[in-house]
Amino acid sequence: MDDTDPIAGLGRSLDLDEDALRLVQSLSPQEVGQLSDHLAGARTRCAQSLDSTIEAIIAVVPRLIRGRVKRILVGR
Amino acid sequence: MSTATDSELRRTARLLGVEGVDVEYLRRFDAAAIRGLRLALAARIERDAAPTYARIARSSRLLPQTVVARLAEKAMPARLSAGVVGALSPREAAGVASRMRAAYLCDVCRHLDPRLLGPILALLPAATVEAARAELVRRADHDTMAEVVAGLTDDQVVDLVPRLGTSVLLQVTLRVSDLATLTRLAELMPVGVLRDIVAQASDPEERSQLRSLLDALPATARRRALGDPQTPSTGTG
Repeated sequence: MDDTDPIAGLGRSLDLDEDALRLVQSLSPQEVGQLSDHLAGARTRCAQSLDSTIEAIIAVVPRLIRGRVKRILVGR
Repeated sequence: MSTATDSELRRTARLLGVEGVDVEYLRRFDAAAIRGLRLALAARIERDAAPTYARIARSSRLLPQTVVARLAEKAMPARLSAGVVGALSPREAAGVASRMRAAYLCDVCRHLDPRLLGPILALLPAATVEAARAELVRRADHDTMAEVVAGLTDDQVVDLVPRLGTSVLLQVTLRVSDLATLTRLAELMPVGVLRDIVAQASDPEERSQLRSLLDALPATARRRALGDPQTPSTGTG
């Protein structure tokens, strides 16, 4: 596989079944680029949302166990 | 145009957090292929977040499940709660789910990887399944219903599916994107209900789509739905 080929790159990053692999292989380079961008955006938003959610969980968890929960969630 | 394809495009757009028009280029593919892509994209997004989901799941074990359910509703977007489900055992997930309000539980189901649904649904109390059914019907969320119905146990299909009502069942059937699930539903649903679904498809477009689905079914399941001198028209057949 060509490392610069966007289709190969997307295919490698995803665990695709046969139908989905055929689908990705028949996308145009522009469509692959769009899909890759959307996937990257979704991953970034998920990470950001998790960060703020961790803070929110620590804030609402009962005070009695807040320290233990915080240690598990943020490691300190 | 296929209802199942429309449904898969909506699910894919929701997963990626984009507008429907942004994934319109996928419309030329069939629903099963889009579903395969969507599940692979979901797995890729989950892979990054898995360590954090695992930590949230671990911290949840410090608290009673009723408290976990309330805290999730208060502090976690449903999309992230759906992610944490993958880090819980089916028993833990069912325990927390049964203590959530139906509205939040249905929000979580909208985002949940459908491959996780089956083992959890099998452990849910009937009252929770019924509350979720009522909420999804109230919302007319046929996309999510189709995913949930696919994950039900055989007994749950027999018990719950006819209670969705024929018009809802038609919409759910048109949104099921894999043949194995359609076949299973056609084999489990009472013959009378199946034929009512077929009769319900009065719109030419829906009738044509339903016909295509039925044509793809194995002969026995197709006969149950379409009628056959050998198959009684009432009862479970």
